Amino acid sequence: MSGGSRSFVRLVPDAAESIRREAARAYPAEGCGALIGPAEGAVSETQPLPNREAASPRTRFTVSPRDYLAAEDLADARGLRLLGFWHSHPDHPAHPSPTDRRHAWPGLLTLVIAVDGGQPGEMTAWEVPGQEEPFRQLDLEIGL
Amino acid sequence: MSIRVRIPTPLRPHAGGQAAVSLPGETVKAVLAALVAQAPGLQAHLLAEDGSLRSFVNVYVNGEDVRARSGLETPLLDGDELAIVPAIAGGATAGTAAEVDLSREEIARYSRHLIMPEVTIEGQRRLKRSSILLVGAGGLGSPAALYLAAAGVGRIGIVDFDVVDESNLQRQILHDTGWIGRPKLESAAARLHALNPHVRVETHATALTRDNALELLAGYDVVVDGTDNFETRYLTNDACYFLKKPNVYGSIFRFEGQASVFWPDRGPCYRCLYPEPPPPGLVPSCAEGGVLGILPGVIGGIQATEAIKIVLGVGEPLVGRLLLYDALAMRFEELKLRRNPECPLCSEKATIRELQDYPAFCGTGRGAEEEPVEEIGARELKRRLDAGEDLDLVDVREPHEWAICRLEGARLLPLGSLAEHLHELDSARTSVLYCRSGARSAKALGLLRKAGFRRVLNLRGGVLAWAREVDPSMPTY
Repeated sequence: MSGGSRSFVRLVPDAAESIRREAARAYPAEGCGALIGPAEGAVSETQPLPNREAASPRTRFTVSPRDYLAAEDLADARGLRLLGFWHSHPDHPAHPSPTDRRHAWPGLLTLVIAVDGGQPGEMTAWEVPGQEEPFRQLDLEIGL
Repeated sequence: MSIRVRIPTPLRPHAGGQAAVSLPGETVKAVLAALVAQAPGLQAHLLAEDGSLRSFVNVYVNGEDVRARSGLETPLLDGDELAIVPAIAGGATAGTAAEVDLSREEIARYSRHLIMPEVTIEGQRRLKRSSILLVGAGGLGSPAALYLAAAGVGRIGIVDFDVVDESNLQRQILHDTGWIGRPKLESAAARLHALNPHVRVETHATALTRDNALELLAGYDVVVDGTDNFETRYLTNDACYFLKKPNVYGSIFRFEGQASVFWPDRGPCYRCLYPEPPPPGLVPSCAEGGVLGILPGVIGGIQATEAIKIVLGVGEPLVGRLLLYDALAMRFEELKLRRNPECPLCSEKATIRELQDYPAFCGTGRGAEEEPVEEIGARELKRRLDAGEDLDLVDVREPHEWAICRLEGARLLPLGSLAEHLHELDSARTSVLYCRSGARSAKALGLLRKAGFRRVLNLRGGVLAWAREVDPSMPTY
């Protein structure tokens, strides 16, 4: 993994719009989805996924293993890569929480979007270079 | 013997970029050992130091979680597909919630949970970081609170403003004889703390109202409805719908109980079942109709079970199903509940957009007193009787209640058969109707009014008020 060399993530405008829309739709619960693209750091599309967190969907999200496998299948089948996941923080800053860190996987992007009172807000991108390392913020560019 | 092993994207760099490999092995453990032998970089990502599966890694065999089978010892057959799946989760909660850990004492205490594949230490952590609100610390709330505390739910909230009454003790097992006359909340908090000091008990000494319901319920993951009146039941249902919280419903009457889970967006709500509350006085409460003491033990236990399943995310929640329990026949029945496309709350045609001013319903009887009926207080009735006024005292309770206590000179005309006995009433005389608490007699009064009787009064507070204010020697129930 060359996670350490990556310094920015580019999101095509359609993908960014889809995240904003899905995050607003999920409000007041957390929304989530898969980030898919042709190469590391290049998100060309997103796949919305149901938040399977049963008890506290407002403050937590869970992607079920089956949904994970389906998203990965979708990417693999089209010659793309599963690059990571996005989730929303309803009425909470777009900054990863200790919960996010505990669950983060090296090699998978973590993209967080704040949703304030139903309106999608700031979006930030993060990665963990290694299992025991803290989050490192990546520059997020929206463009083609 | 060949097993196809699926490598997830983030681990592919450690496996030469491959998405899948074929490996030999008769168990999950053997296949993973073969995988790690081939790609040593995977070891640290898959297995903990003691050789067990890391907690953020799921292993699926042919689409089934091996933790639900025999874990690493799960046997494999030629052609099986083994998938390594990263657990993807997170969320806005900072610190406390997801970062909980279990102490040595807690691990010992919950050991029978920890060894169940559906719970494990991860599930026990979920329980610890969860919060459940009990609306009511009565018959249903008692067993539910005890089991939820024993199970290790981290934070239990209780809403109640009642004091312990002697007549509660036949079924409300949270409270004991020494607490009679003291707030139920104090008794509940003391009992739950003694049972499990690891649980935080939060007490809310208030009635649930239109003004506080949303704020109160918002602080909890799951709500357990143990109310004894329609006012609070509709309020709980509506607030849970607006907050999208699962509402674990239960109700009891005499020998029969029912339970369901109303989970917004996943199934029907209480209003899909009963769009509007019944008219006051139509449905008797436990105080009026009685209840078998052990009945709430069964129903409250079912509610606690459902709440725990919701927190753990296991099994099939009682969503879209109404479970009916008949203790006399000792039978359970299940009715399918569908979302009502006309539901005033949760359908597309919804008309209710905020919490309502809930009209006073029968329930505990306190509602019926607010009906605009002609009333007479117990002391006033006594004064007029003593003054020799000709009053026709009509007891609208049931014969077995009549056998416990009654007003001198009264006659019995149970509410259910009142309509057939109207000819026995003299419209020229003033009738005073009474029941236990004043709720059923208010209903009876309405019936008489409709039939044209004008000189009718309702004894406010029923025989309970009479015993309290006039004749303390009268036994009450």
